[in-house]
Amino acid sequence: MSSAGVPGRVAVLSRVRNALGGSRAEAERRAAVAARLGQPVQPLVPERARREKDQQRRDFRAFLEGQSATVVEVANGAEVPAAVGRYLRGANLPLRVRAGGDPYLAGLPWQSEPALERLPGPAAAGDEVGLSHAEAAIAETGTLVLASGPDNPVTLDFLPETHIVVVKDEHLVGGYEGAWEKIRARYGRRQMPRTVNFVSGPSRTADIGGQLVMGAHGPRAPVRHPRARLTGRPSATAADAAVEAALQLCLAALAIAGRLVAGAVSFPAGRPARPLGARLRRRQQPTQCDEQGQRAGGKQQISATSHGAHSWPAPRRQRPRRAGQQRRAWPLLRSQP
Amino acid sequence: MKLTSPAFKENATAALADAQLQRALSSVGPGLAARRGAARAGLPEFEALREEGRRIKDHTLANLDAYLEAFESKASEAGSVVHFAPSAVDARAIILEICRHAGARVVTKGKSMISEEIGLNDALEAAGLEVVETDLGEYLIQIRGETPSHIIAPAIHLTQEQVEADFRRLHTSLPKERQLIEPAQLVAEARQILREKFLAADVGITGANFLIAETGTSVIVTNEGNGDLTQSLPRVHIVLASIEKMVPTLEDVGTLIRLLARSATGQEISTYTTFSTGPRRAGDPDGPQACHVVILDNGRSELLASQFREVLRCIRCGACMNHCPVYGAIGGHAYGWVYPGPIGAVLTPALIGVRNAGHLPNASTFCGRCEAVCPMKIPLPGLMRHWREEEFRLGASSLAARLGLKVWATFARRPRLYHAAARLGMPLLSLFARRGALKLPLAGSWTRHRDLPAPQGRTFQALWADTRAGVPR
Amino acid sequence: MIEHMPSIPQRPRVGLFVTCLVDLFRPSVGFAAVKLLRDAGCEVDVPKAQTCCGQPAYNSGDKATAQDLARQTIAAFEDCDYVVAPSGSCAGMLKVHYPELLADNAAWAPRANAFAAKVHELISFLVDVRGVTAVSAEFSGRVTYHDSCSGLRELGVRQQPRLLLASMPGLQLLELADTEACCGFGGTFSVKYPDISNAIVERKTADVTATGADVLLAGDLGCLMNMAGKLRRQGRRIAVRHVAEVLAGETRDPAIGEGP
Repeated sequence: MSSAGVPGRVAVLSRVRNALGGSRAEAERRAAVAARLGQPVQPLVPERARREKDQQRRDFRAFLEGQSATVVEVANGAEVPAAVGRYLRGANLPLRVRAGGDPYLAGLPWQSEPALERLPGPAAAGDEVGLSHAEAAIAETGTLVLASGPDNPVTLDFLPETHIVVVKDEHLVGGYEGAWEKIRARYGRRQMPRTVNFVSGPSRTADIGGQLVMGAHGPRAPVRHPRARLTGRPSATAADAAVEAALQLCLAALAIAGRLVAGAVSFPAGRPARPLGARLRRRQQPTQCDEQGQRAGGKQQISATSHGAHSWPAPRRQRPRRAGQQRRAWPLLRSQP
Repeated sequence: MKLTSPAFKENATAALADAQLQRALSSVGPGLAARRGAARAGLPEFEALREEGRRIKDHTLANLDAYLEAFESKASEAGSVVHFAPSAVDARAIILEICRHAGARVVTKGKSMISEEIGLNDALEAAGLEVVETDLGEYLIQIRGETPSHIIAPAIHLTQEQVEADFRRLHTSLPKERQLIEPAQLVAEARQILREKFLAADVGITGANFLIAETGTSVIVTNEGNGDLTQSLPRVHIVLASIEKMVPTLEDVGTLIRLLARSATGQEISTYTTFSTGPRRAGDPDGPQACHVVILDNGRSELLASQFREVLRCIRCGACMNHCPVYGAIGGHAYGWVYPGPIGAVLTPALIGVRNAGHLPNASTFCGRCEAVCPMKIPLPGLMRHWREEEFRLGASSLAARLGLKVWATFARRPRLYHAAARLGMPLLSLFARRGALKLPLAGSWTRHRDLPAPQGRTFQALWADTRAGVPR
Repeated sequence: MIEHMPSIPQRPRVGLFVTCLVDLFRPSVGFAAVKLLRDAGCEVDVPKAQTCCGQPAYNSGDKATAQDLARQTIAAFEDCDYVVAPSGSCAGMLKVHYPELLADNAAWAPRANAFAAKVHELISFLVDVRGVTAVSAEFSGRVTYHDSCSGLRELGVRQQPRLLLASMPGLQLLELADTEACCGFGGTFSVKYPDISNAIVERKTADVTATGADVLLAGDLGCLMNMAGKLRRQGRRIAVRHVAEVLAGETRDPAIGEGP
């Protein structure tokens, strides 16, 4: 398929081999490589990645809050839906989240928040809030570990402006090494899911005049990580203990303060609802996605939406709905490359 | 990318006279250096980690062929197609073919210095593709038709006013009366414009900060999230990386991640560190359908065999240029090619030839700050000196310089002659002193900007001989 | 007389590496160095067969000349107990780069290593080797100190001059905002790329002026001539001297770039 193909491969590998002295000591080198790949050398782990659990929780919170994120702790999983609802209402966000298919999230008592709508599937351009479940949380730098999979679309982490992440207390680890352990335990040695995202705050850039601005491309509203701490109920039975353990949740929520200022500056009261006068296009029936959020042709047909600096957190304006304008039909030659 | 390194001196002169550039340089560079210092102070193991990082990279480079093969094997297992490109020409051809096969019309790009190096954007556009840089800094310079001036902050030389002017000029679909005063507003506008492109792209091309052999994974590091949108939304994802990006294991990458953001911007970690392995899996709701990894040599295997091997440890943090007094005075464009600053001074002659890039390793005071802050402990001044030795060997330095050196060396090798000439010459020279400064028709390069302090008159050796002989001082 | 001097069994023989700039332009620095070394209980010798450390050749890529000068210098100083230079860059050349230059020479590599072990920059020699903690010379005034890059990064000279300056009661040390910034000299760089060198030294002189100091000190004559030349051109009334002159109390001569 490629024009360089096999000759290119041979050329590069042989050049590299020759640069390293040809076949001299090749057997030893290969043995050393195989050894390191099979049994990774333990790295130098900084002290801050080796702290005890309580300090880990404090560190995790402190780092994330330092990145303009909010961390919310809840006692157990049952309280997650209420915490999510509370946050959305408090931030004047619509009670609609794109949640993916994560079974743990799906199994939470969402009936406690009947007004809250959960959409399945990958993120669409019009989604404002994404809800994910993290594999792990890393205390050393306030980092969430999100893995792609049937239940966790990667686009959830980046397309919606607000990202809420649920992580369990038991999945909080001290340092990156703990994250690798969890990944190997779940996916196998030398295996990775399609994507692992380390997320350490909301999107930002300092490319304009060296000033830091939030929400460059990914979530503007910081990631929310509900965090739960188990209240000290003694477990009467083994079953109770299991439930208790399962209910130890970390919920962290992040809320940005900066966007309030940005919103106020760009949109004085009374300004019409179209930020920057962009033409807004909206999907015809945003809730009528199939299981995978796919449209005909194997690729979601999505329309662009303005993500301009809207007034925030002013009441969600009604977005003018421009009928009918799909972004583009994908070309039909969509053979597997 | 247009090469102007031979005109380095002229570029530098122009850069020094550019008031806007000077304002930009003085406000951003020192800030990054200060933040790096704070991050280092905040992590007691920082210096030890630098040593670990150096060892990891040295080990990898010493076994690069085996690691490349291991990576290829694991990446293929995950469904990636791995291509090896001996040269820039090959890499462009491979990528064009992938795009053609995918019927692509729009290509989004995450930041990739390698793509600059191989002139990818021009090649794609010549083939009729629309190419959109999604890293905000890269986008800002793309719309100006400029090249990056810094490897992690490519638009560091632009002011807010310039960006506003560009946006008004280009984003004509937006209302003219809109406010673009605050950086936040400019970012929001860019976000809006680029979001449409993200969603429209057929192919997304990213670089890679690291390639992990253990799992066949490529790693990108951003604060914006643009790399992720670039690689997860389109149906084809192309990773473009040079061979020395290889790292053996997840643990090794952890060490390098601990060093990268701290050295670059003083952050504990960049906002997004993304590990990608292959196309979407069965059951994945999103992600690219196809993933290609193009691994580029383009001169690195030669570096591997040479006295410049250590430069291949580079993890593209930019700390060297953030601390360099020369870069801090002239900015990145003066270096005339893809890689500026101290790393550029070593890499550029290797990739485009020492005759084209001869100025770069010479325009250094050897202050050594770059080496002191490099997370990989690359001995940059020493490597620049190797280039100077190479130029001397080739007779590539100026005739005047070589002649002057020869004359001086003739004396320096002969102490008696040297001291006799100095004993006569220095008092003579001091006659040309006016209130402490030498007034001479020579030494124009020095005296253009500075006075030349006059010698005291007699040499130390002469005076010392007097004291030895009992003559009072 | 230097206080707090530990008692020694014999007076070590120090070979003074004068440096070409001190020899040619400012011998008073050399004499100040001699005084400090004698006060520290050393016998001072000045081998005649020394000219230049070879940096100009080395940094221009002329390894052969640099190697010749290395051998010449090593041979000239071989019977000294120590080799001391009033310059971080020259001492760095002798201590760090001579062994590199002669590493592949079977005969000279061990001699270069033995030589390098004896090499010290002047102030760090006084403090680290001779145990000097204070000087008896007097000086009054507001002073700022520039750390020359080679001394700082190749030899770790930073605290030693500050320790001795702090022992002078009338002297007030006002630190530069960025003590690790290059002055822009860089040897031949200053004449090969004069405009860039100028931009860098301008930042340095702005920093110097901002401290409010009346006196600028450093341990390297190249840096000092560069900064003094710029300050003069800018019309700034700041006296520039080598730190050895102040520590030795030898400040009769006009400052660098000043004169009748």
